[in-house]
Amino acid sequence: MLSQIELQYEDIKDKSNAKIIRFVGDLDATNVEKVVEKVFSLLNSGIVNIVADFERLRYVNSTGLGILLHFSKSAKEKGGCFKIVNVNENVYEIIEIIGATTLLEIYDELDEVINSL
Amino acid sequence: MESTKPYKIALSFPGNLEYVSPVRKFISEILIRRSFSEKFAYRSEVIVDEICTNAICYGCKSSNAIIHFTCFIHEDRIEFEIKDEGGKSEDLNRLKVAVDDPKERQKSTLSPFKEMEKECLGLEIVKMLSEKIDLDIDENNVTTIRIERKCKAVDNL
Repeated sequence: MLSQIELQYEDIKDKSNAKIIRFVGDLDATNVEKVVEKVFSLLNSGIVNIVADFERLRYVNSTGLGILLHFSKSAKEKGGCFKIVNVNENVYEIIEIIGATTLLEIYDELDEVINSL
Repeated sequence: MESTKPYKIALSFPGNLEYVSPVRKFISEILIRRSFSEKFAYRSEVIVDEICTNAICYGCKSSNAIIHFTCFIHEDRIEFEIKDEGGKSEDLNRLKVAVDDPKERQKSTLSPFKEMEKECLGLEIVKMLSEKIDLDIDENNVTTIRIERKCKAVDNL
């Protein structure tokens, strides 16, 4: 049984090369491939500034975290960014354990991250 | 001294990643039903996920490999035991280093993530979330990992 993850997209006003992606569900080894495909499809289409809203991301494991770091690196290489917002306490703890809080750009508020683009 | 016997759950499942999600969620649900905090259950779910994923990715040589997972739930702690058929020698060596050299990462002044092998990330998380981790590899390379996690005050915050 694959873990359920849904990605919901939202445009950002006056920023044609940016999008909000809302992650809903669990991100683990069974569904990273699907997520990689969708995020890279955006990056390759010129949407290089991505805001990942984790408000409804319940769970992430080490495979999922590895992919988030990969997104961040790839977006930067394309002249953009991959910024994360609304991370719940449990998910943040796992990011912290692997020492990735300094490698990922994490924000508390959606307005704050949009203004930073 | 503990007055009651631990509650035991034993599961055997094919070496396929699709089984990991139901197993981790099942253990988490059982812990909550047995009055452990949601945080303790979540952290335990992460441990179960990482050790099962590791066993499937690196401990299943044959296509019909079976993973044997056992969980002992005590009043104040939980123990996991996972057994696989053993992987290639380089995977076993990497596992030994990951389990036996917990101090290696701390020697670095760089970010821990950069220092870790991607494949060992999961075990690093397990080590950080547990008190004890033991590895046993028998003469046939059958690999058993035992993990103990105590329920602490921080799990209830």
